[in-house]
Amino acid sequence: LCLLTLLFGCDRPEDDAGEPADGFAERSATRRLTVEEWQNTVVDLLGIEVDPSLLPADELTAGFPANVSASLSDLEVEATLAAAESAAAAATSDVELFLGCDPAERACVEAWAGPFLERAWRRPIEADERTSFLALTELGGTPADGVRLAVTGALVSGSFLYRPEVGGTPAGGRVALDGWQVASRLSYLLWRTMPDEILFEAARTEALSSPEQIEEQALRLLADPRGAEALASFHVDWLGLGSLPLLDRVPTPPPPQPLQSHPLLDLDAGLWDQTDAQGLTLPAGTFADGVLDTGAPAISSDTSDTEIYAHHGVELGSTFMLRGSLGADDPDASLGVTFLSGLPASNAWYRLERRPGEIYALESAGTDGACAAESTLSLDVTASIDFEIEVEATFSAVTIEARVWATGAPRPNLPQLVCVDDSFTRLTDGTVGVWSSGPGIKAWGDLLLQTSVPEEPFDFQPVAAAFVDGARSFLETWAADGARLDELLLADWAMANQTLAPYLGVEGVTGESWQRVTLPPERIGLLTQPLFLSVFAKPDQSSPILRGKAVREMLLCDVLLPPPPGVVTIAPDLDPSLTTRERFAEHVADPSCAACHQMIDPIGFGFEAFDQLGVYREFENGNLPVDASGEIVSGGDADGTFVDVRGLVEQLASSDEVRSCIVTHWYRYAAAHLEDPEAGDPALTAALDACTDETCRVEDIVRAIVTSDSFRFRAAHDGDTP
Amino acid sequence: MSFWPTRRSLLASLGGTAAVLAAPFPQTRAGEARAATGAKRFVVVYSGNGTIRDAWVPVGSSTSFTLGPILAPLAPFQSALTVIDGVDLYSGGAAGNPHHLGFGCALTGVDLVDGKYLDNQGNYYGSQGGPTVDQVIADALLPPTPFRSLEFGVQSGVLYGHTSMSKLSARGPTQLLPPDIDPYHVFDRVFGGSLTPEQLAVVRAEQASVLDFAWQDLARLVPKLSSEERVRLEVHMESVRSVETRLQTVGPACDPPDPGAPLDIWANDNFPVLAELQLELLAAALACDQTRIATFMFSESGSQTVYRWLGATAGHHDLSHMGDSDVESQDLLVATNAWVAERVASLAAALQAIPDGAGTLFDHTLIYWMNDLGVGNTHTLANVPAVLVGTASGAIPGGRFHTFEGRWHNDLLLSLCQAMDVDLDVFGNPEVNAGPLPL
Repeated sequence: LCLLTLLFGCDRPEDDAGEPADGFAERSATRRLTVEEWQNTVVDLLGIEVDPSLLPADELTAGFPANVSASLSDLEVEATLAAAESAAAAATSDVELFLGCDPAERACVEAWAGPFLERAWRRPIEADERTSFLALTELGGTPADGVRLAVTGALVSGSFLYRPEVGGTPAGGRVALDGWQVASRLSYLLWRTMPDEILFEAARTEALSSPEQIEEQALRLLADPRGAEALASFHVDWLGLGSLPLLDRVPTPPPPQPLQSHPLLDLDAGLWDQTDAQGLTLPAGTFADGVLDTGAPAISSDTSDTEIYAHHGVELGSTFMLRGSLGADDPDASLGVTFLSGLPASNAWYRLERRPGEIYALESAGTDGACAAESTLSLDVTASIDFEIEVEATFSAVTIEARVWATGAPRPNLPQLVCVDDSFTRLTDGTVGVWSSGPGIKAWGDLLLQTSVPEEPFDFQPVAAAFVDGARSFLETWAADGARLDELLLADWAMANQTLAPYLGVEGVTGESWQRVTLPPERIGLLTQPLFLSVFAKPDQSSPILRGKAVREMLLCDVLLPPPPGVVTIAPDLDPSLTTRERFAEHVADPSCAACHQMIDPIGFGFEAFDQLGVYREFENGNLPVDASGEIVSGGDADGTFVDVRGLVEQLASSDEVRSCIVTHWYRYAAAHLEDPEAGDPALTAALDACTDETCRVEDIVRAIVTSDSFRFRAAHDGDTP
Repeated sequence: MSFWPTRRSLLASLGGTAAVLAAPFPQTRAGEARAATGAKRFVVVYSGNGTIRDAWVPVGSSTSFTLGPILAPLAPFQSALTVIDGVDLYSGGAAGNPHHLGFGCALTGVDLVDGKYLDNQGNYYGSQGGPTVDQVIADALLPPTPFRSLEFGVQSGVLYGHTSMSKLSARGPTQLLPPDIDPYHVFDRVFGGSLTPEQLAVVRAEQASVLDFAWQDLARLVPKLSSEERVRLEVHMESVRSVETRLQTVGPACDPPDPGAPLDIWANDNFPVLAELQLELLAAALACDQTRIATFMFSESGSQTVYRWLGATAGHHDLSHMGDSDVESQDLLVATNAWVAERVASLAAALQAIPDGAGTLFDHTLIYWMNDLGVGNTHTLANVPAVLVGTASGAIPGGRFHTFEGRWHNDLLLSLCQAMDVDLDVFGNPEVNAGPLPL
């Protein structure tokens, strides 16, 4: 302490209000409002919600968005302008309502200007500032335009965008923050928005100078719903959970399903959409199922032009099988079966066909994809044939495999005709049909269509949003209940709605609103909520490394540095037939990897009973049993082995190490920098001292921080007026 | 979904001027609006996570060579192609993770500024330590274009939006220039959206007044800050002035490609369409002489884009970590890199279709396709895959495959500057310079 005061070249300063002071102060960093702060501030100031994607991205400092370092580029200035314009236009759409008087009367605008700017800039306004603000109101085509432009100007200004802590008189190497600055510190720390009228009034009346006054306000803010929301945001930031909606996660695929019988495309049942079937013979009641019998064809034609088709929608990722039979008695006839086509809308298709005098082949038209015969087909072209065509449409390609054999002969083991179309012009859905031309009798048997059960297309966005909102709802409820640190990790409850509930393994939840549910026994606290588990995962699999690393760094406050540059590590080849855990055991087998990975992976293994979407599983990779046992090493009093995630979480929740780490994160958030052991900010010491056992609440930490000197003072600098 | 308000929606709120909305927008054709300058243009295209060397390295001699599977899509431009092997991406040796070093030092040639931030993944990270080569060129040439440079991106910032790993260009230390990842916003910003010149003039005059007010406020604040903090807000002030000045000079430029109905700019599977749109807008911005300097980012450093349209199920970064004997992953990585090569080729083709001076825009352009790593699964910064497409009006011969040994990446950056007529002898850290590469 003495050294510090010497450093500032003075004696221990007197506190303004006369209480004992710890004498500490550090340089104030000029924070730019974070996206969340900007958004909340505009709601409070204008009653307008503006989409956050308008604003420049936040910059993290010490793990929290603080915006204390990067400058704003042209593009980002334009973004702040666009956001300000959007908010101002919405707020002033009914300008009389906005002002509470008629903007055509100059007195109305003049009465509004000063108080508005004071709230927007969260400080007293100088006369020249008010004058140039009023000048903006005179621009534009109408008085309403002027008000809109003035609001835009207020919002795009540095005094709005930043939280400058300037002015004041240095004394003893430091400057006491004024009441307005303390009001903003409190409201942005605990509400993530501008001060309310009570705080502004306290600033005006200089009622924010003593630690007691500040503490009283802090407790008021914490008890408010906005306090609970901000607490939820703190935890989302701390654990890095907010990015989930930008990430890509897919569900673990169910085991492959056998092909399901689709309703038979029965030629005589009238299932065809449309025909162009001149001269088509449709004898009723004489059809053998799926077998062409030259004596009783399912359908036949003797005209030179016949085309009939039915629509069959193909989902990406689906497979369908077409079985049937066809034949023509004249070698100069053409006929075939079209199994995926743009018809009738466009003349693009894949089909099995026979051209005059030729053999059966796969052909395509209207697409760049190529079809090729795997082997020569030596079939009598005037005999009837059976065919079986499998079409698989994935995201990247349409694959067609065809077997063709003489009716009555054995079905070939392998497809003889194959076509893979991965061109951009490939067909992904369309119609199924039969077609013929030329002389003679052409005939087809019924077409049997079998499909795989189409996979439900998975839309991750609403799921991700539910994961985030559900965790926030849990955190807000927990905050309102008193915010005990151990309950964060140990809660046997969570908040669920109908979207989130299945991922939690909770049944019977309906509706979109959030309700408190009891967790199934395999889950415990925030770390087993799908949000944490899916953020720390790969798109299609769990990740013991990401999860272990998250615990190591965010709950144990360890710093894991990457390998030094120049060290070449060869990634092990991973055997896909193993469990995730077995594959990652490679890291410990290699000594150069083991040093770090023995600290990471055995923690991450504790979460192995949950997949990349946080879905509980007893088996993975088919039927391999999950082993979720593990160990914490080099974690102080958190050390020890565990058999499942409950053991892991209980070890963490009872650890002083973890509690100190959480307090440290609160300090980083409040101070917008990492703790500096050399400077030794008493605020951190006080917060750690206030949180020493399992009864510790967030409130204890916050009280210690806001009543410390570093919350009320800043170091003097060369921009201050002596 | 893009939430940038269009100028149209903004104008709709202006009341008094809304009546002129019905006026038809007098489109000018690209060829007319653009000054047929023949001036040199410079573009950096970034894609990350390293390459697959066997599939990347051409076969043959320095002047007669066959492109491997990755670079094959660039074959139509082989006579203007310079494939450079043997350049090491090293700028002095600061600590940091290889992606961050490879990405953040690549175009500055100097170390990252000290990593004082701890990101959500627990990594300390720094920020670019100086101006990037595109900005050095822009500063030297001062092109008389509305935008001194344009930064484009596709889904840059999915994982690292809060760090410098999603921002390639910088004007100076920590003065990052984030890319515009929203083609619909680019359309409005660079090409004036769908307003008439008269409408645009009204909006922009208002914006200039508002920005001037903001500038005055910053000017009152800055002297009260500590000298260390002043720099940061002075850059903000410069940006405000720069925008204000540009707003007073730009009218609707020329006939831009219509980006169509907005798509979700963050949905992984929209990546190919967004890339196509952004490349078209980049080509149009050069064609219309809105800028002569641009960077283009495929995602970000450490990108986890899932190239599902090529058959991938894992993120790009994870895929790049798979072992060499994992044939399926290696094939996918080859396909991924070849897919980027196709996009680079499509940019070159678009520029080739535009007359410019005596020749085409492509003749006067130099495209540098860079990577933040040599190879993904070793994280090496040695032998990064460097490809130049275009000759900058013949400043570089083209049709060359160079195999250097241990040359610095800064030497390449110096060569790029010289090809762009920027008079420099050293680029970036002087300790890591051995003179220009004989291209």
